[in-house]
Amino acid sequence: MACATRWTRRTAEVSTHSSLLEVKNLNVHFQTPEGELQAVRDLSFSLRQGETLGVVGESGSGKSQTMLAMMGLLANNARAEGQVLFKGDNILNLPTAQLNRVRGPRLAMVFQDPMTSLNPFLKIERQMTEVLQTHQNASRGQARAAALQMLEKLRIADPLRCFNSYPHQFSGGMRQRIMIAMALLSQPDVLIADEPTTALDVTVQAQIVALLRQLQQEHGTSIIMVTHDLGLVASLSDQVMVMYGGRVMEHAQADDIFYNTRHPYTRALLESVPRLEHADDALLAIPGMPPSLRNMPPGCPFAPRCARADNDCQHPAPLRLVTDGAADHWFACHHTDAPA
Amino acid sequence: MPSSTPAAEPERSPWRDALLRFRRNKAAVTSLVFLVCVTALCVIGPWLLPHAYDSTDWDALKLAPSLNHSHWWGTDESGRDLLVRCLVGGRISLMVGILTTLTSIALGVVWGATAGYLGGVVDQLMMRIVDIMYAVPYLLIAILLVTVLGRDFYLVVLAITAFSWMDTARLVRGQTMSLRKMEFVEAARAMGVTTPRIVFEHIVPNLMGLVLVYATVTVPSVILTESVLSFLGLGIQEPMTSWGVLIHDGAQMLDSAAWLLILPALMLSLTLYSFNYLGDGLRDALDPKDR
Amino acid sequence: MFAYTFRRLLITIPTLLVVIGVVYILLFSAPGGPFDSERVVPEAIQAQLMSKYHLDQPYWKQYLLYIWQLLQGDLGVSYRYADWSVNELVASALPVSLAIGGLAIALSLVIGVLLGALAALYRNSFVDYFVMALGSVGSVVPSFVLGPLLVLAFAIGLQWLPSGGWDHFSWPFMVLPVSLLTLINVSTLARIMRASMVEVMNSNYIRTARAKGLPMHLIVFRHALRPSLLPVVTIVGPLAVSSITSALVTESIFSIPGLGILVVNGAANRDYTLVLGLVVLITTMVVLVNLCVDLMYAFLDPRSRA
Repeated sequence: MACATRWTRRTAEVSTHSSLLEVKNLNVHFQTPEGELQAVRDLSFSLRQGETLGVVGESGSGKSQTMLAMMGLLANNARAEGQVLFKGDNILNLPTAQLNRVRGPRLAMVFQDPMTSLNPFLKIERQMTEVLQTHQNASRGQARAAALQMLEKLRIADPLRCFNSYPHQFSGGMRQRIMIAMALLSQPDVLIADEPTTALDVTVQAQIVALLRQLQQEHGTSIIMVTHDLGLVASLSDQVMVMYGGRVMEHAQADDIFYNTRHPYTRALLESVPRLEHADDALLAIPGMPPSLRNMPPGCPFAPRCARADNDCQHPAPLRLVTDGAADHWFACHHTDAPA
Repeated sequence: MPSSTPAAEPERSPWRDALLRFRRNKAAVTSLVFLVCVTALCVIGPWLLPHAYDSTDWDALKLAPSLNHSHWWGTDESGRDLLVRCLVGGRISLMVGILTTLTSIALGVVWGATAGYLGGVVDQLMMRIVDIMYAVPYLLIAILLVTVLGRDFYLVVLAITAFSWMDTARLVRGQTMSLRKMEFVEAARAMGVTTPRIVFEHIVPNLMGLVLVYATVTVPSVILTESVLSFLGLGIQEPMTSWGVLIHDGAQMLDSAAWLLILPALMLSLTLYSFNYLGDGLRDALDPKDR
Repeated sequence: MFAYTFRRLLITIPTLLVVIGVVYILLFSAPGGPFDSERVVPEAIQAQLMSKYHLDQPYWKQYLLYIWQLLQGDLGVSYRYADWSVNELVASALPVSLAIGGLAIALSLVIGVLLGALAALYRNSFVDYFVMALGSVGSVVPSFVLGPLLVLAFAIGLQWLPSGGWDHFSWPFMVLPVSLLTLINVSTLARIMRASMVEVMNSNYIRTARAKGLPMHLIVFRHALRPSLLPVVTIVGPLAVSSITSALVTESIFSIPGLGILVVNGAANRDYTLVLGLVVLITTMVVLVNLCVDLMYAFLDPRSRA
């Protein structure tokens, strides 16, 4: 195949800016009765301080597994390979005791389902103060004061009553705010938010997003926002990474993703969002279904559903680098001509 | 994880599906075979063996099991052949098991279907009674009944039945309540079919599968109850014998003739085990999601 | 909490009254029963029964007087032995049963929970397989088979312990009975604890706890233990009921002079009133235990206090 565009493998690149968090060649495998399945394939990215990375994909694209792998929270039958460099040190597959020095205080995570992510048997106070007592050797009193302060900052009404209550006494939105407060107590460098608003009402969503943005400005926290909602990504992210079938399909600055789209999948995603001004048009859904891990197509995972697929797509497409202005723009498609 | 569209499969009746799933479960099939063999042996065996279960052989007191003489499983302190006694005892134990299960299932089905179908106050009252029955320590009441009424075979069956029907009743009530809301019942009612007919001709056949599973699991628990009663000396009376009685007798002879305990105990345990595996297999076959 | 207790009591008491009533009716009106006019009863006992159970009164009065008598703590008199009241017989038997039963329950809870937790935390290890095997055996081998087997092994085979009997709470006579009871209960408890803990450790809130970087001992003891114990607490009620069966069998096998033997011998002797009194006593104890279990459950689980 003659190829005019020069392409390089992503991993050899050395970023010119120092990154806070750098993931290199992450692969996640699962051992199942049907054999070994791969959920994440050769994933790399880097995150600087104060940056927000939006990770977009459908269910089953591997985005949650990536985050869980980074945090060492994979299931027992899963295996992760590669490197996760936090401030230069690899934390992937680190023994628990050492991992716990980073996981929690420096690298925090908020989960998708606030209804089940808080312990129903412990009061809120306990669940919050234990973070500071464990990681900062704070006394109970000091931890209480700090936690109360955080609750106030998140504009949770009547923080003292909240402290003495159990999770089931709160709504989903409140619980998610408590979760975020809990995650931010040790002032982490990176906050991973895995679909933080999916289980919540739209109005509450907006509040949570505003909250995250405010916190980022105040503390300079880097955020990784995992979601399937493009609108959310647009409002918050500096970089955007689009995933499908366990691989990165496109990775660029937010503006470039939306206005200089290179990958057919990203293009299809953007087009499938219904727009008010075209209310009469038919909804453009992407035909077909995302691939099951057991039946991964050879080559590009999106090929079966892609309008531009041809024989080349039977072979996996490596990530190609194109430079849009000053920023890097990566995409994995054989069709390197004009934007998708 | 959604998969690509599968090729359409030929239509199969749910019973055939269940049968196929059952056949694949080796433990369940083995258990079924074992149970059939045991039952056959218990029924036919005593006729084929040279000794009667109550005939005493004065030349062969407390003989250890061996294939060299005619008493393959040994004898007890009165010279009675253990193998024959185990098989005859098996007849009684199995009969108690099956008879009691049949009556308690029948009672449970009628009770549960009526409560579930009629609903309202009647249902509340009937289920309150079930709850109260659960709170009572059944063995004690069974002992009480046996004390008052005596140890006749059918009274033992009655005493045990009195406490074995509640699980079935609860189950049937739940199923009836959900079936009642289905359309074919509405149709029957619209056509003017009377209530008892609806219950027996439409609702009950749909419960058969689940009831079968419950019956299979009730049998071992009933046999166990009878065995405990007999072991305590409060169940089956001489000259009849059951596995429980044999184990009771065997326990007295532990220091001199341990086989008198071990062999009947083995038969009992294996039978109970097989019934449980069979029940599990049936349940998995009929409702594979319910693991 | 108080209101909850009160509500539970309101349901419990009628249940008890109904049970006693039914039992009483059975006993006193069933054909061939103790008060059948055809029965020939020795003079002394006849007189005692007449006065104690008010047999000359109409049935409903009999029943109410009986309840009144029960409320005063009087369990009646023996039908066979003119000089003995049920209370006296119980007084000598109850401590024995409580000693063995109490010890067995305490041991089974501690060992069962410990084994179950270890099996859950170290899945597929030796402990795990051991616990699964134990659970299997306990659920299939009946107590009246296991008991004699223990006697065979330890009393007859190894001759370490006596095969039965009782001597004023001296410990050699207690080892085998307590071991039997403990073994039966541990198999169920360990299996339930294991399943429960495995489910809890896979829950989302434990994932959050791990994500917070909490050390393992905090996760297990502060976050996982209480939710894991709930199904165990739930099973204590049914376990108490099945303990009655186990106690009857155990006391029979080892000739322990407790409540169980009293029931069995009473039934064998057709001592109706003794059996009646014992059944009432034991049922009351069981109902109270179930009540305590319900309250304990409400205490442990904040969600159920609604």
